[in-house]
Amino acid sequence: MSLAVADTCFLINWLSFRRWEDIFRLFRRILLPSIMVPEIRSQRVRSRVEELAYKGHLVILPRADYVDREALRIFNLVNSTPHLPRIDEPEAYGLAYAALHGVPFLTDNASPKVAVRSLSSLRGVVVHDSLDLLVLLYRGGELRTAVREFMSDTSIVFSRERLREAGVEL
Amino acid sequence: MAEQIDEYLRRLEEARELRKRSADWGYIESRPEPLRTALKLLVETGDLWYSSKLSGVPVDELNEERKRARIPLVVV
Repeated sequence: MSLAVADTCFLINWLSFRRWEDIFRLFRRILLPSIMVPEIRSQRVRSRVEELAYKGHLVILPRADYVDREALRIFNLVNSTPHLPRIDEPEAYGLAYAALHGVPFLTDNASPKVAVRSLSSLRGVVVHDSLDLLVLLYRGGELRTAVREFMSDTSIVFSRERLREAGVEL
Repeated sequence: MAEQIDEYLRRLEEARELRKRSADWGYIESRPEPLRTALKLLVETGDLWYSSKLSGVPVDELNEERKRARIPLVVV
């Protein structure tokens, strides 16, 4: 894997993880849609994003009409399908870019993951949450340690079902 | 597909209950507006971006506040 597109909330929390740099063992570059950049206001996160961009690990994706069109299609489809969790504009944009370019979408929100599992037009699009990345990065005891560290550093909790699906026993 | 969606909806509901139980309501009530409303929205929805957008509190500021308010983001 070389590229992945991330949403802001995922990135903000992942950058709080003590082993945050390990993500670059999986992806050479993280793409952050430009529509999400204004949402980053804190100096700490901005500095880290700027440093990553300077080092070439992070690229700001320019907004493009063809991605906007696909994002709007996904936005309408998901939000008009009964019982599917609501999808927000930036998530729809990230998911659209992932679908059009065949790169994974990184998000901790449920909606994109449910959408790709439920809607035939999105089948095959890869959506990873933080736990997926931890499972890809670590094994055995180190995985359990990393999951505990991640939850402690970010105040993100993985549901019992997600942990069981990922084969993680804490 | 319907079963899968039902399963996710059940997990999302459990996540909402966990946020409600875990939250430091004294801290939340002590915060000025619009932060207080943003945190309450976050407890209800679990959606950082949505709560930020509706309340006008920047997403990274809200993320720091939700940690202080002991509101977990639950990955289901």
